[in-house]
Amino acid sequence: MAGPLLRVEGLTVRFGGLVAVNDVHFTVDDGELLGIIGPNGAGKTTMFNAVAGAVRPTSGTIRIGDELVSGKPPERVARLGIARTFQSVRLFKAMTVAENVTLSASTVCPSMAAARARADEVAELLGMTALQQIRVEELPLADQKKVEIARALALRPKLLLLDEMMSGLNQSETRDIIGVIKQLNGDGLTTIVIEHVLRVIMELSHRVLVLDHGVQIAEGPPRDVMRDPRVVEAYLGRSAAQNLGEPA
Amino acid sequence: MTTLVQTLVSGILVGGLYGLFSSGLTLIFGITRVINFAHGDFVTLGMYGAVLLFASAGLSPLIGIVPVAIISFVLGLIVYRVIVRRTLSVKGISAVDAQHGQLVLTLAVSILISNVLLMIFGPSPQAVQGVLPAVYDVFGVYIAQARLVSFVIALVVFLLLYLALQRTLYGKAIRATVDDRDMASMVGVDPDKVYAVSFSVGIMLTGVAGCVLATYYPVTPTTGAGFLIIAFVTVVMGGLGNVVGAFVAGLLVGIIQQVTAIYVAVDLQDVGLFLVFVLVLVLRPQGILSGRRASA
Repeated sequence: MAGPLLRVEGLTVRFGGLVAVNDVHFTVDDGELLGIIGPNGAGKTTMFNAVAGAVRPTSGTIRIGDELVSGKPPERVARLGIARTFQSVRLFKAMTVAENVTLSASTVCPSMAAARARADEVAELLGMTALQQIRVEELPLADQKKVEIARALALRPKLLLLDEMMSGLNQSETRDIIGVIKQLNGDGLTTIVIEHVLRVIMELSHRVLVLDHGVQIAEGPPRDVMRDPRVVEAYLGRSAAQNLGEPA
Repeated sequence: MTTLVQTLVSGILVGGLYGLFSSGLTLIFGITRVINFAHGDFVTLGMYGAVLLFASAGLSPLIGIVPVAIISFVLGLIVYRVIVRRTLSVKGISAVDAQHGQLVLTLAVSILISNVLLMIFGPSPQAVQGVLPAVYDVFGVYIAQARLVSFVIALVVFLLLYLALQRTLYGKAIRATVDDRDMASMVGVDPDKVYAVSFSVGIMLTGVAGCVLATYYPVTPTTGAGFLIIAFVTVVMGGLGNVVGAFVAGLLVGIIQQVTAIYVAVDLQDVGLFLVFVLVLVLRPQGILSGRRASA
């Protein structure tokens, strides 16, 4: 494929008077892992929503390959190869793991049997075969997050959007999920990760994009971005100041 | 004691049919969020379907459920495509305004159906007579064959619906949409298809309920109005969008009506129902089976 996999140009999302995302430009190359950081309310999730078709951009375009994504409804965007997970887990609670993943797989599979096979395949990849027949609301949070990943993967996405996978997880669960993300990306799956835990972003990302109040304030390799004074001010300002014992 | 058993049995037998057409209403509401004011009239249509097939072709309503089901499904599809769909995603209109539109439109469908029926069949009650005439005496409890068979059919059709919701891909897509419609579309479920199928299936169940009801209940063009109220009460008692809840609540509604009719006064059977309904609203506003789906 020539050019980047995802191309976002001049993306603006406005809710009434609030500009949640303001003229954001970026691209993601095939196989890349892009990290997106920013303080609360920076517009990260809104941007995900726009890329996934859940929110219609006020202006700007989003393309995957040569296909225009912006303006299409979510079920079409899913078919174009963009899959996502949510910070607050949004599984179909009353359904089993297998049902959740099979429903998603059926979007890209010709038959129920093929969708079931795809669900089994994804479950095996994530080491969740034993959980298949359990209702998701009975699973612990860490497993529910993995089911979200499984459900997204079942769509055979070209691009995976992961929204704060680590929130609410402990150290070892976080390690586990990081391992999964690395493995998937290592197998060539282009991924965008939104994350609050900077350690995770530093470890995972090839490149980092920083948003603040809907504006893109920095972009580049993780180490460079972390040294950028605008980023320190916007994102780390308060906690850095607290660490130094200075008044905020 | 015999009276009590008789009352309960009668209540359950009619309640199965309430349960069936109410599960149709709750399916439609759970998916499309459309409150279908024409729902009772689709029961009426099913009843007239049975009457017409019996009078013209001598077809028993038990066989008549097949053509009635097909015709009801197609009618549901037409009503969805032509009317309901237009109200679901109109740009620049708030959800509340869209809902007002739906109320007026489904009410219009209701008025249209009952008046067309009045035009064709006239105002006098019609019935399918003598199809299942037997009355069984089970230890002093009388069970009319027509009521028993109707109940069994309602139960079987409901179980088929339940199985379809659990096992088929459409069923899974429907359950996912009831739970979280935006998420469902993000995994590729086309909401328009799911809406169309659930609306049509909802109307189909309702038509079938009407068809078998006609074996013992006479029909007039306005019969549906009473069933509409019963369906609303049943759906709310069962938890909005909860299909199993609607069927169970249907049985309860049948029992409450019968108990009031026998032990208080026949004319007050709906008063008894509404009293219990108010109690349910106060004590368990989420529905009697405080289902997970009720919160969705």
